[in-house]
Amino acid sequence: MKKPLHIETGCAHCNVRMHSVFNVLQGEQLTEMSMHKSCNIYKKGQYVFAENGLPTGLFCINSGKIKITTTGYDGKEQILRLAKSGDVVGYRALISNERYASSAVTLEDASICIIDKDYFFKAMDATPKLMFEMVKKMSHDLKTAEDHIVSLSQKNVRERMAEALLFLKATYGLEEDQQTIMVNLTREEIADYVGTSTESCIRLLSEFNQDKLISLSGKKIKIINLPMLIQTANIED
Amino acid sequence: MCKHADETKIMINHLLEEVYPLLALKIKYALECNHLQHSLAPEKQVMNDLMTDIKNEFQSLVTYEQKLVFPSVLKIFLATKEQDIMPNLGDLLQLTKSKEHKLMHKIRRLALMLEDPQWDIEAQSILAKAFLTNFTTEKLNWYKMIENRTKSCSCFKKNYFKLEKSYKTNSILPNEHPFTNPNH
Repeated sequence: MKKPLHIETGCAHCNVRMHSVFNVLQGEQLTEMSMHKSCNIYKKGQYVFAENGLPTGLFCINSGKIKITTTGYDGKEQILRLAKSGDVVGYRALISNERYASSAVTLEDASICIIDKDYFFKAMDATPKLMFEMVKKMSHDLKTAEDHIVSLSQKNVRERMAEALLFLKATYGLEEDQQTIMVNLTREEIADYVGTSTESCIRLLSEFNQDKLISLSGKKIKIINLPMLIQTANIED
Repeated sequence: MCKHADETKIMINHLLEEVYPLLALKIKYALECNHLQHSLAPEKQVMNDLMTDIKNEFQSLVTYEQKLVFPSVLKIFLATKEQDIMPNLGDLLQLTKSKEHKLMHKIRRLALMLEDPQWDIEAQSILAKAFLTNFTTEKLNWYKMIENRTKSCSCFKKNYFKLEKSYKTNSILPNEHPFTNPNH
């Protein structure tokens, strides 16, 4: 791991502070924070912190972008989220007093400050507004994570619906227009193939219709965009 | 029906009545095992989700094979000139292989997790082993049998290649012949 270059900047003059959780600090509080932090320059691809490491402070990104990643069970890197200037990272392990469950790696040259752990806790104790900003930040990140979970589960059902339509096309063939699947199935029957409820099946078909993957006419299903349907089904070669 | 059709039917019955129910039972045991139910490990949810994914993916595979793929294979033996609606067996087998690939990916993930001593659960080890050995072998035999039919069974061969020719223009997958890589 390369050693980052060290630079000095005062928090009062920081151009991104107003977009960060520290926007509520003023005057002496900023001077004090400047005394309890250090700022470093990281080259692209450098680790800011690594999985399993012990947190010593809170990282505040002054400039540049970083990725927060973890290693999946198959050994592959899984990007959890991206962070940009004004964002604070590494707060989860710091506050819960645990080791890092993820790593932070710079995606481009970045300037990042680390605020001393003890000072950060004292500042939160002394400044309820800062505490509230941190809670807001956590709630926002939690919402983003929840949205991600929902989108992943919906992706899975969309994938299965696309797969079902491809199976039906391969089994029953297409009508003369080379687009309409030559079978009339009820929504219940299609839902059975997809492994979902009839309500979800109706909603998914309607979504596919809106996305112009298919068009619906009663029980007839016309495949309008076959390449996109194959892509949605995530067919492996 | 020719004797090959009868043998194919026996193989389908073997899969549907012996191989798949046994695997389904092993999934059920692995999902309901006490160790997993009462585990305090923080990754318990990850393991539970993975097991549920395996169950769903397997059920889905069986549904497609039972309702669409196997009847389509048998239909090829009976194809006549008058029948103009015929299944695209090449695409069906590619789609099935794609599903098997997804399922086996999850099984390999399970096997990897089981290397961790905290997950030394017998029911799950048995399940992973059953998929990595029995299931893989049975499916290999199935694909080999289909490949043999395209080479040695005159009625299947004639109808299959006639269909393959007619579907050549609208095949959904850019892959090679579906039987070239039975392991996928």
